[in-house]
Amino acid sequence: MTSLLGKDLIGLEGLTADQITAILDTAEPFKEVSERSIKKVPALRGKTIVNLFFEASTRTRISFEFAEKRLSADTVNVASQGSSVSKGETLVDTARNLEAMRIDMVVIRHHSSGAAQFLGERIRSNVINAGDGKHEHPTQGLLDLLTLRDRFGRIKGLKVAICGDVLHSRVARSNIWGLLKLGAQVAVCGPPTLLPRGLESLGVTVMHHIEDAIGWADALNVLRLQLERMEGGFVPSLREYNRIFGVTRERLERAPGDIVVLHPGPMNRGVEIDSDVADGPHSVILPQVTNGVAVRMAVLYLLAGGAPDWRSQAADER
Amino acid sequence: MVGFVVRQAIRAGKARVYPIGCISLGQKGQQLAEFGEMVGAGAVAVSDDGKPVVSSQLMRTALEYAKVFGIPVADHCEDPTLSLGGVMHEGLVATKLGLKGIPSAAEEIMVARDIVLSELTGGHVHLCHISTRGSVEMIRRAKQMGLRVTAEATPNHFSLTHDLCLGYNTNAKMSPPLREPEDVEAIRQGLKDGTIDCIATDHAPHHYDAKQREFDDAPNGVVGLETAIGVGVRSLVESGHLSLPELIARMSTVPARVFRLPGGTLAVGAPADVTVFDPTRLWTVRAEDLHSKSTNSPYLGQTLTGQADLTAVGGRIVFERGVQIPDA
Repeated sequence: MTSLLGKDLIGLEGLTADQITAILDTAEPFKEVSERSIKKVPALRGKTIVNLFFEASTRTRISFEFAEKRLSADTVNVASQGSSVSKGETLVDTARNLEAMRIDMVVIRHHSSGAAQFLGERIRSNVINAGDGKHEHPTQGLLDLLTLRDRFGRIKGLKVAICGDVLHSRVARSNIWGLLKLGAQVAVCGPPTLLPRGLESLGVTVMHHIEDAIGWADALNVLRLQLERMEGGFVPSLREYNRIFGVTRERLERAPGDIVVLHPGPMNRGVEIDSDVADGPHSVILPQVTNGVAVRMAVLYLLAGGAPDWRSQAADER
Repeated sequence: MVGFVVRQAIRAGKARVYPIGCISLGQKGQQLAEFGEMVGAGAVAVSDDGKPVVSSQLMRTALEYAKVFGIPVADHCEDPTLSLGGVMHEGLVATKLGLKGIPSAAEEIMVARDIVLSELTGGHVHLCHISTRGSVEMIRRAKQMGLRVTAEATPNHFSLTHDLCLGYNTNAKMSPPLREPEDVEAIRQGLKDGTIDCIATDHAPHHYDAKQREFDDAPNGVVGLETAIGVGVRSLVESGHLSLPELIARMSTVPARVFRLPGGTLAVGAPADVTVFDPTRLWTVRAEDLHSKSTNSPYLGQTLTGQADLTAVGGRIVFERGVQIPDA
């Protein structure tokens, strides 16, 4: 069965605007499932899914697991610690073994860019990228798009500034592709040491002053500054980073209009974002997390070959 | 070690092997290796290839000391602090793939340094596998200044760009990395005007498993021996950059001159080391057709022009297409 999305979800770069919109539209009714007292629909009954996490993750892994369970799939979690991976098994062999167990889907998180595609090319099961190195984190990009669409009613024409460590961020890449495809204006803002080369040629505006981004944008997507970036010499200190690039309430108050703040988590409070912003009226950080489950349900459901309007299919099954 | 390589090559009898000795003991970049001993055993140059000579002081010493033996010091130009962790060329493709890039400056800084040290010492520096337009321009100026600087480029770097890495193609992973179309064009121009003296394959076979992995973890290097002529004809001759005799010169007579080797010419009395090839034959590179045990070629599936049919070493045929002559 060929799904609307093809076999795998590797990144938003490979999707069309229509495919992205279809995922967001499919996620809408799934939001309601999580609000029920019995949070379960039978859409993926009988499907087996492996959550293969080569890199530590709490939020993404739990979000996927809830999405799978609320769709009635059977799931197994594999973490790299304590598995054959830590005994030196190659990704090729891991893939072949999974294939031999006749599973339906694999959700993979891996520290190397390209790992999800690598796996997808070698097994017949659907592969969903839950973050590969610095490449993409498509379901995070999708949940950010859904959160923006909830708030503004549209993506087209929206001005979104992605702030912070864009260089090392898969979240940034998925957001850039998704936003550009849906017609948003995209800027990146951060110290030049943390911005990758060539983004201008994709139509992205490059800024170095957080005040400029706040003055321009309808929404800020504030990226996590990984603490090891200090050792890499990309920024001198957390204190200076907060002082020069941090999203603070004082700075937000000078925004010309209403501005929305997203953060993919986990946050470094007092570094890239201040607590009174994270917990304040501009923040949509918790709605992002809620939307994460709905978007992942939509992706799993569509890859399994589901029709974009899942209610009609569910009705047929009854 | 050098002597062992020479003796093994003679025993195999398939090719003349001219070893390049180390610049530093164990290629550690600290203490000068015994150039004299190695030259005595058959080394024709020194290099810590694969690794750059990081210490400018060591490079200076090597260039000075090598003058005694009349051998070039060959350098793999890479500033390791700029290339650290990089797996491909720094640019839009690396940004899209989320892979750590190596800026052109990592090579160019060392090319500049080696040129300056060649001027200081009067020593002969040979710059290996040049990959950037900036390097070509600096070498061109060094030659205009009359410095003893020679250079080489690989077929990969005059025919392929970083776009080949898209899809995480590990057969496009090499050091230096594949770069941009402007760099490819500059190298072709450099080969035309003699800024780049030689074509070198930088043949690097890897086991199938080694390249079947995440791009970050796959080793650098590709095979290039069997595709060199085909790529040269297609990307230099058919593209109008070089005449066929110029291509042949860059693969035979000129390298022989740079490294002061016998052969590389069809003159009377010269060693009868000859490759016979059909410069018009179109052929498609297929893994199963390669003679190498390794198939990590970036040209798989591509159609090339020109293919070797026969190789003779010292007048004896060691290879004919389709039939490999058994050991003597």
